[in-house]
Amino acid sequence: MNGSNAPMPHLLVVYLDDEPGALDRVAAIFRRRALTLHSLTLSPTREPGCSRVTLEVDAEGATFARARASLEKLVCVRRVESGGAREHGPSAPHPSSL
Amino acid sequence: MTAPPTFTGAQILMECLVREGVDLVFGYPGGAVLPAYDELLNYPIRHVLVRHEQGGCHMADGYARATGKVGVMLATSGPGATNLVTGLATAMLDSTPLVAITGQVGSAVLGTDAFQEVDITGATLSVTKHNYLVTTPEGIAPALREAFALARSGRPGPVLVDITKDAQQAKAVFDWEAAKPTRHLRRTPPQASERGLDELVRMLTAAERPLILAGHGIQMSGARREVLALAEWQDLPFASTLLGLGAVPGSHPLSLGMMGMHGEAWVNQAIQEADLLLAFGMRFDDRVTGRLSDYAPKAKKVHLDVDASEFNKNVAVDLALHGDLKESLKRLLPKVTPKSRAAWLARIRDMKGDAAVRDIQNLPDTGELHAAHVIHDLWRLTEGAALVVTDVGQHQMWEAQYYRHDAERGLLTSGGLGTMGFALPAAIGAQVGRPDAEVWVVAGDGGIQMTSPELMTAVQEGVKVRVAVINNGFLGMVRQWQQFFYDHRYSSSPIQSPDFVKLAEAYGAKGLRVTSRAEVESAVREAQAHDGPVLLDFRVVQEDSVFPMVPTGAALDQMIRRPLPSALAESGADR
Ligand SMILES: Cc1ncc(C[n+]2csc(CCOP(=O)(O)OP(=O)(O)O)c2C)c(N)n1
Repeated sequence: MNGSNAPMPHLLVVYLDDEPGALDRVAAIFRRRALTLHSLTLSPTREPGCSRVTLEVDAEGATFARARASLEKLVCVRRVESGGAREHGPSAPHPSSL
Repeated sequence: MTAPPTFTGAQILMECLVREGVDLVFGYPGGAVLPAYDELLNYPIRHVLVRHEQGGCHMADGYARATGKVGVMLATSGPGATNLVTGLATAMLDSTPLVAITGQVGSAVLGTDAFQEVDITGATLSVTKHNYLVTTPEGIAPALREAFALARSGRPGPVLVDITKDAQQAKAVFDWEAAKPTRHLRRTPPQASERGLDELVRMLTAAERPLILAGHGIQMSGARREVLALAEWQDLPFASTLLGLGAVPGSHPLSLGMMGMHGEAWVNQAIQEADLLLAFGMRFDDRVTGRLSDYAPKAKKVHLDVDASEFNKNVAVDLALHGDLKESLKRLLPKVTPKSRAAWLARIRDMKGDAAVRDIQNLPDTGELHAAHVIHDLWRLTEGAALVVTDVGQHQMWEAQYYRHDAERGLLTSGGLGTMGFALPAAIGAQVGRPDAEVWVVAGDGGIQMTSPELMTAVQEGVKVRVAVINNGFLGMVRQWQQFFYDHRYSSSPIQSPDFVKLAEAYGAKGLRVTSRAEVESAVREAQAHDGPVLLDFRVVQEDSVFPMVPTGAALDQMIRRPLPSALAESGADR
């Protein structure tokens, strides 16, 4: 425990279509819930036309689950992987982005 | 070898619309969409010229809700496009299939604050299921086809396609086949699992006080027959959400009526006492649950929906079955055996108690006109078969309480967003889509003033809507909240109106005023007989309140009840 009431950052990996506005749609899911993104990396993948967004967000259980469910509804999203909750600290690359 | 034929972007747009089965669009022209408007003249597509783009969006929405087809709205860039926002949000929250097409400034000046440039895909990001900014003629067909596929599929919704002016003007090869969409298939709902269905059967068998929560999804999935078969077989009473009214017939012996904030007391009480809730295509909106921590505390909850993101969103459920409702129920039915639940149904009858005594219908006729009277008479005189489109406020709740809907798509209303101004334009769209239906608007004196210019659209297009204005001189629902929760301080809820009869006449429609109950029947008959739009100005009791009411934050069974007639006789205010 870190002793604070602050929610733990959760790591999410989102695979999405390479097209204008896709990142905006992902970010909007968190913005509308007043959730703060702590880190966000967009990178290409070997899958044609697919990019990967790795992000860390402050959110507790139910809010996080709802945000994730909304992400999975986006037309431009191919799939979402969850990295689980992490302790506060310097962000490290997610294993799948290595 | 001859080169494949090329088309302008505007032609491609029209070719796509025709191939999507569109023969009607609502719209309002402007600079950035003129190439499309010019091409419209060459295609067999009726265009309904609206008076405001918001109204146009509601018309497309009403058309879609009334027919089940995709509604289409066409608008120009900038202010034309921003005027769509409320209409799109309305459609989004009630899952209406809609495609809005907007013109956009030339692609070369995107992002320069060019004249009438608004980033409309940015602005509508959260009020559309998806949207597109198309900058080339080649991009039009793929975007449009996908837009229609998305609007219709899964949980339906509005989609916006923004097309730059140069993309409408430039030429490209039109390849319909190559533009075939696939991404909407990513979200194809799975079949409900066999294990889940078996679990549901076990829960049904074990339950003594089960109840169906009937939502809008029943109608969207076309699952009415299956729901009724299950209900009748298992003796399951059903309560409806506002948008679920008519999805299952209101006069069915197992129908309880509307649940929630203004649901009848016994309906909410039955939900609170139930030991099993079967939620069919509904989303546990805060208006139907009351305080969540006290919601249906004894009940196991089963949720069947096409949208997995609805599961456990507001209410934690014991079993979630993801899939198309009709398909799930079709597979469930053979597993279910008949069962009678006489004790539970008798208990619910008991709960009704003195509700009928409190009902305004049963009060002695004092000669005053109550909104409930108007609605009840309208139900009687239209034999319950009208397609009613309500606005937002007290009249909307009274309509839900006193007009019993048996037919699917018999009530259209803005449930999720609660958009005042929705009713008149949505009714015009509904009437255009279903010319044989008897379409009635029920609106307040506040809401009707938000979109009343659309009366002119009805007159110009020869659309025969009948408009019942429940005129109480107040923003009634606001006044009611101020009466109950703000110590009768009527801050900005009294509202003046124009002379609605003269207003109707100025538009070339018919106008009638009704001030007593005795006049209701003849006025309604006259409106029914008139061959054109009619507005009826019902001058009702001013400070009437909608009962029962679950105050925000209260548990579902903590309702403010209708006062008893004796109390009513004493106090003038709280009728
Ligand atoms: C566009 C919009 N603005 C404000 C509201 C808030 N609101 C809800 S009900 C209501 C009063 C409606 O008054 P009226 O149309 O006269 O109907 P009544 O309640 O009297 O039947 C208001 C202002 C709303 N729902 N929609």
